[in-house]
Amino acid sequence: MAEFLIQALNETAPLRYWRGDVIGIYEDGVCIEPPSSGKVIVKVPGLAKADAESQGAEWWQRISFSILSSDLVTDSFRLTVSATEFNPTSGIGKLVAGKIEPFLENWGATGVTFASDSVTFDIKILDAIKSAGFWWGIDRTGLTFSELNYAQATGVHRCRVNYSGSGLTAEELKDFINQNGGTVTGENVGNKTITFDMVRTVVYEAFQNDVRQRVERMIVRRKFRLSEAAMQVIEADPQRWLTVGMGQYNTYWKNKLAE
Amino acid sequence: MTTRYVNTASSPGGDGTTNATSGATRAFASLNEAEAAMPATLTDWWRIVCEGSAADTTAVTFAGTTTSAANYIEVWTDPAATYGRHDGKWNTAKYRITAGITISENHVRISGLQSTVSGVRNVIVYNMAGAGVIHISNCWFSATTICVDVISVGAVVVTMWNTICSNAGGSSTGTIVLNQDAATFNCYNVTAYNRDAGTYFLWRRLAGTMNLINCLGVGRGQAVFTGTMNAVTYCASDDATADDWGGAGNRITQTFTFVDSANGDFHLAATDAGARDYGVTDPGSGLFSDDIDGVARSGSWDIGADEYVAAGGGLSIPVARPYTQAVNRAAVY
Repeated sequence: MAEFLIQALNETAPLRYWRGDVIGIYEDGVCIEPPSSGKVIVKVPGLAKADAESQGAEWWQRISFSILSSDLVTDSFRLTVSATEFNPTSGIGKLVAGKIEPFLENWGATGVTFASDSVTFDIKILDAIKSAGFWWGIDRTGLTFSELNYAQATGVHRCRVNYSGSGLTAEELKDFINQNGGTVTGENVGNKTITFDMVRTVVYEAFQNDVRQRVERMIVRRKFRLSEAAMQVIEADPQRWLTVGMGQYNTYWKNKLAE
Repeated sequence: MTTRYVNTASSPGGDGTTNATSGATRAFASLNEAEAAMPATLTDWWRIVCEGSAADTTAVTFAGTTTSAANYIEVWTDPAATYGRHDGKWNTAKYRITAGITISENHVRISGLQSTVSGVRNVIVYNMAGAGVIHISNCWFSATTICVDVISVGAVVVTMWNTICSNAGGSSTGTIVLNQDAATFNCYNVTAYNRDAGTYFLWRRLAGTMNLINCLGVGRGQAVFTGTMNAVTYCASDDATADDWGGAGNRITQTFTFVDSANGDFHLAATDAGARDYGVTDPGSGLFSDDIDGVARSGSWDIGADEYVAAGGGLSIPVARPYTQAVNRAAVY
């Protein structure tokens, strides 16, 4: 049996628990007393806690990446980033240009075009390697980059960075390259250059992770809520604590993405 | 101050106004339940007192409540309570949370928690706009990824002191990480320890301002301080990174001796020669004057979360084992 602790207050502040939202989901026998005011408890015999967990899912703005086309000669890609969890009626959860565009441009993306719930753009791996997004946290002022070689089959870019006009030291640069998945292959102390290899997949993954981390966020505390009709049934119980069958349980839920 | 109680011996559904484990006013059964019951706007300091010998297993996100410098959220354990605050090392008889804590409020203080997590951060300060003040103190953290992470926030100042961060069993880009331009992360008397030798960076600044004083790092083959720190003083590391950014009093390539690092006890041993008395006094300018388990600091402070006190001086010190011995990764924290 799964047991649900449900918010009953008519709370509507953003990111708070709204009426009908699941506060907690427990194993059978955990809820042993009626709830205080402002909450109700629903017990569902025959429902395993593990199967009930989805009702407590948070609603986050989520994005997915898909490759529309690629050109391995220039190692560039045309990508689409789409919102995966949004309400088409209210628009909640849709991609907003201002939220994602700065991060795409930070990685050297070009040709950024917005649709209603997605954004399409071009990204070239070499441009990404040289971008502020990749070198996040380090002052790139005065660094100059050149590509020495590119192996199409393996996706390895051999690059050289000249730091003679930068305040960074060779050690700082080498640490950064190593910490971000690159391999330092040479150094010319006199010319103040460092040569390093960077693999396409490492750069692409770093790009995806960075954009996800900065764009994805919780927008509503729970994705599902108990229907108002169900709440009133439970609140009619003197102790606001009700045991219901699976049939009733299945009719109780509303999906906020579809309301 | 408004006080609410979490007691893992309670059952869900109480109003949290007492620490009782039954009745309508019973304590909340989890920190998450306490957070869910908070008002949309705080009008005073809101203290959540946590207790219980059973683990709190529910993740919690502090979000959606308007806080301010005077009206902040404080998650706190009572050192005097039977099942309250840990004693500076992992203790399964005390309150502990085994799921992640997300802070998306601008003014939150966490004091005296012990937390061990897998696959998530112990604490992530994340996803908030504007300025704020976050305090993390006297905590014991263990994670398979990052212990404390600050990212996607505004001009927030995070200050952490008297806290232990260690990790094992996974991989990550760092243990204590700052990755936000506008944010500041101050660490005072923090101990960070790589239980998997050479696996994790310890302090890592990717963006923002990171200031470290009296911090102790044991990377065991991996860099302790990486990513261009802003100020590092009176810190010590087992590698050569503590003095990479100048600053006074830093000590490199040190050997530290803890009471029982293999089992999560990072109190300094009597034989330690790497951290004892090498710190600077009062790094937080009056913010604190004791150590992770409440021992008063005196003289030249020790580096790290613990202030060594000789046996008979109020703290019982078991036989020391240096950290260089084999570490039992299977130890349950």
